[in-house]
Amino acid sequence: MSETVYVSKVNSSTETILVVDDDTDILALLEMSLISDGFNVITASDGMEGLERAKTDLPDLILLDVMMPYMDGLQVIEKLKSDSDTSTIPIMWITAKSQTEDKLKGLETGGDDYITKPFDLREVSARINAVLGRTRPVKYINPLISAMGEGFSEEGVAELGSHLQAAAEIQMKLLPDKPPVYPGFEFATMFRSSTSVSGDLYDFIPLSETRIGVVLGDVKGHGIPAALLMVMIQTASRLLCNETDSPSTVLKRINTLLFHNTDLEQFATMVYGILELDTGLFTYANGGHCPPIHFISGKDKTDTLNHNRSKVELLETGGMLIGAFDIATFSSDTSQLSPGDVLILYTDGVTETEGVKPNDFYGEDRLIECLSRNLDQSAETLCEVLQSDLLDFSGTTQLKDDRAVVVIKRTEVN
Amino acid sequence: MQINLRHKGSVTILDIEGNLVGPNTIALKNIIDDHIRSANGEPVYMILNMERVQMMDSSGLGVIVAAYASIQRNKGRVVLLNIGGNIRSLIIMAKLVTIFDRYDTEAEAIASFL
Repeated sequence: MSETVYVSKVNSSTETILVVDDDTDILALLEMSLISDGFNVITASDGMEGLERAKTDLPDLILLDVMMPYMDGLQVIEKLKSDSDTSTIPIMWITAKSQTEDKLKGLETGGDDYITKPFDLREVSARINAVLGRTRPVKYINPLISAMGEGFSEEGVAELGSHLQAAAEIQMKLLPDKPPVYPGFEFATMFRSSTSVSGDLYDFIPLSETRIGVVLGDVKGHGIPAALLMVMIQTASRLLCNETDSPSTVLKRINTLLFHNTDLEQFATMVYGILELDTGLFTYANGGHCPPIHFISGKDKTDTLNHNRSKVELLETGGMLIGAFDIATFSSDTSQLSPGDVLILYTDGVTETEGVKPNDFYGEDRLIECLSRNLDQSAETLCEVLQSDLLDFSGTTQLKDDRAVVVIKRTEVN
Repeated sequence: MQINLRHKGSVTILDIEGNLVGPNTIALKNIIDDHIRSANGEPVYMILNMERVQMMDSSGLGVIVAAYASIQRNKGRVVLLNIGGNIRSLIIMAKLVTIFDRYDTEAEAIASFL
């Protein structure tokens, strides 16, 4: 076996900072410090070069010295602000402590903040993060602005905003407006999106008098690309779910459709099941999705104290995630819902809800525990209980990921 | 996130450090894409060393799935080394255990290409 041929180190943080200063020691110091903070760093040693790099690399933030040869900081900022590609990039001045007037002038001329030499590197890092925190949302509008090119205008952005709003409304209309009602069962849903449009979906598709199709899925990613794929899957499943085809056959067809019509990286995970309303039999196929949980109530009338110790069954049978592999095969399985049993289908936005402590996630165990304690409640109450437990756990109503939940309960026979 | 690229014989090893989550994953995607492109249609043999990756989400999964597909197209192969907790369960859940060979030591992973 040969020795290592070469080693390359690539720093690949998502945010890039351009440092423009004619003092090479300062450039080196800031570069080292920012790289260790996890940023990508580009440097330029005069105003002209800085302007070039800003235009070609479109950094997330620029640290700009005021006094420089060829083109000073004020000229640079003026040029940056007059170009729609660069006008929204936040700029922080690098000034000497004595240059208080520069500070004020800097902020007036469009700088977002300033750092003073000599640096307290921790303070520099904190201020950069504060500025990026304020300007990050703008970054997501920038691609829209560039896409609009010459047509860019305040009204244009407002128009795009209203189109996005309309897209979100169309998408919400694709979801069932209320859960179905059938004797012997309770259905409840919870749906929340982390952005205006969502990559999660669920659906109830009546197949016959006694059978209903239940679909729940999650498209990779968020925002508009995920939402478009979500609409595609929702439409495909309405067309492909029918009384005769098994869930595994339907997943195979949706897989083929997505595989041939999307990029390699575009995929979804989904569960499709058929519920027999007269027997409670649930026939399903799981395409790489987090397994739905079947809570077996198993209530023993002589031992009511033990009713919390319900057993659970994870609905894992199926196949790979949908849309990535042509060769994917799927199989179906069944799960018998008896009176009192509860079935929950959910997207990982639930279990990956982050807690107050970093790297602490809600998880499947806590989900099972939360619902097990409340199995005697209605499906709708179970959704509410879950929502409030998620809120307790995360301490925030802000979502990082879309969230969809379907709860099905087979009611007790009298 | 940091990615070291090493070669052992004809095998390329990417040592990945950091979480393969959200937009972070673009860097890994670019490195893999560049590498496949520079192979000019020759088969690529790649080990993704995930020892220092704690978290992976669906975007991360997307990158390795795409890597698998494009590498396989030219009759190459990509395997996973040292996948732990969250990543292991994600791969099991996505039913990708049959797609990705997984190894616990670099020597085993390299030997799998011989």
